[in-house]
Amino acid sequence: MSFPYLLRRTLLYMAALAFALWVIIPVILIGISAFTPRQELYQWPRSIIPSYFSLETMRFFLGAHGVVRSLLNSVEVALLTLAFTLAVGAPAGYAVARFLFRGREAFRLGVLITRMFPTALLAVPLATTFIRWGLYDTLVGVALIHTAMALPFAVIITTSIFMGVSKELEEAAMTLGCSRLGAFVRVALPLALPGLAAAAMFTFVVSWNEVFAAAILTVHNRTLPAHIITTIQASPLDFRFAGGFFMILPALLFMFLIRRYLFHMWGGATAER
Amino acid sequence: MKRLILVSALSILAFGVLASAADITWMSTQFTPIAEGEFVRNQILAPFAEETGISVDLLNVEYAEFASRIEAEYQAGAGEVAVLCGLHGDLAPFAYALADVSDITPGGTISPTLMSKGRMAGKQVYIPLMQATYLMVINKKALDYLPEGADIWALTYDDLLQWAKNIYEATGEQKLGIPAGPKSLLHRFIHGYLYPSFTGYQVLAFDSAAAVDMWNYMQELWQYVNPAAPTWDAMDTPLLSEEVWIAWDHTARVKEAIVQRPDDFIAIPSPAGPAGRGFISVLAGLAIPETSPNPEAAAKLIHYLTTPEVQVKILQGVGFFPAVAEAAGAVPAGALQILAKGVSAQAASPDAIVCFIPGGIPDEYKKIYKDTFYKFVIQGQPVDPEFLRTQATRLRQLYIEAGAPYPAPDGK
Repeated sequence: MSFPYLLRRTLLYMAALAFALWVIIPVILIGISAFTPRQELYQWPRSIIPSYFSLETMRFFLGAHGVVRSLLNSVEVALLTLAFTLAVGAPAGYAVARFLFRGREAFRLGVLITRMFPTALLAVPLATTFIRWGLYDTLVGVALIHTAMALPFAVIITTSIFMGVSKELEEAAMTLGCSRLGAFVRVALPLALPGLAAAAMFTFVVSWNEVFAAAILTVHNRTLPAHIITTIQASPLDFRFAGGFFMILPALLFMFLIRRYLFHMWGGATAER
Repeated sequence: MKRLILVSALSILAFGVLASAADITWMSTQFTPIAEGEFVRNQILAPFAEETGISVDLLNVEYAEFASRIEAEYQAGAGEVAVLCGLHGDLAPFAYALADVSDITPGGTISPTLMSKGRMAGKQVYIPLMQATYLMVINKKALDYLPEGADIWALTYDDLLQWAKNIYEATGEQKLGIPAGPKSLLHRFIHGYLYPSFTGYQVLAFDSAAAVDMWNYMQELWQYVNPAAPTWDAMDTPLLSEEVWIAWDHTARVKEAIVQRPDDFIAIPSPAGPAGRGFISVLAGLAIPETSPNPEAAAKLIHYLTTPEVQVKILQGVGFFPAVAEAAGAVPAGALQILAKGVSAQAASPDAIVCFIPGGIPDEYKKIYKDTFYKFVIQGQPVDPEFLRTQATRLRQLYIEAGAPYPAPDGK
């Protein structure tokens, strides 16, 4: 253990710590504030840790009209989006990575076109079409739009992942009796899992945070951001913290769930060093 | 594990499908703060459902969503929204998509002057629901520093400057508050209070010599404004935390402070400038889209919301003042009386310049006022008449392109 090595390690860990704090401190502050009694939030100057924790704000927030339901709607839309995106995006990424076909480059670029138009511009024609098609005010409709938004990134991420999966492995599987599909499912897919997890995480967050399309395309079946975004910004501090806490929580939980797949990709390598 | 995920996914799906829909949907740009929305749902819409059997779903939206949805449903020729609530300026641009409501009888007497505001494109586009304004709320502690000879019921902008300066010199703190956050109503302060008070107009004197004086005044005043102002969207919180003692904001956005501590605050008229006491009169109305799935239930709701009892309830819960004559005299004691006293003192001031919120033009006008404010006041750049001229040209262009009339006092 040489001295420069220790120094380098210390600096590295300090940098990692600083980065972690930079991310986690706002989350912690929102979390604490969401459980701080109302009166203490308004005290000036305010202490960071309240004298006692209270569920008062949380209870009001959760009891407020439609919050629980929109929370469930959000989860449902995010999961539907995830399913649609992976179902379409993973094969698309695989195709772009594996096969040479006419217009492949154009396709890779073209896939980004859906991101070219601001949603606000599309809102009226989109809503009009959805009304005519009977998709207005349905969660599937919202999930379709979120899929359209997340798909370009899912395709790009999965393309690069499948490019990293050696073609020879699949061919080897096929010589040993696997069909084309079997080789994809048994060999390519498991190897691409970390990339798919990253794509899934990205898709989930896109859907979870999207406000405008979710707001304009639904009336009763609103997602959480659509339901609270108008409300929360014109509300007192305590509701903002409660709302903020609920916006962060499920996304965090989802990332914790999916984290271990990512570690296959990054974590394994660093642990050896 | 997989089975668990599948089961929970299925139950979520089932839940989404089973959740019942209300009879009619009421889309509103008003009542958006969570406490106001809850109040309207529990205290106003719940009794209506009991009385008539019609359950109403209040949908709180921002203007962009409000506008897009009206347009989309109109174009599709079918819609979910049965009734609308919006400010005069929210509804006016959509006169073509709204049904004539002249045959609906309001639940109380609405004065012809007020009613006529909703008449356009040859029909009654909306029925007035409630009114509001913006004024000053002060902590009584500030009274000790009031400049000599100043009358809080007839304050001038010079008094305000001296007052904030006195407090700063005595306490070392900037106790004046102006909401300048991203969701604040700062633009209203600029176009409906500063401009008319200093120049006599909202639009037409944007780049006048009086406007240059006004911006110079604001630069001076800004030294005594709390530096956290650009983060504040509503002044109730800073008033309660006593970060500020003197604040300007919408009645609904200061009401909470007075309700929580009625003994500590007074509501007073906004200051007067060289041209007079400019202030905004806000009018919100109820309308029915052409595509309303249930116009009969919508008409019943409009009748109910304009009965004197409900009008007083709205005032109590939301801080908007009645549109119906019978309810105007019935302001209950306590916090609301404090607010009402300020509102009526402002309305009755002899030097009043009553302003309306611009309507029928794109929201860009707000940006023009705010950008000018950020440049000259928050960033403190020297007041540049050339910049004012460019902004003024663009502002007038907005009205000309949209064919919209200038709002009062400009478009007399």
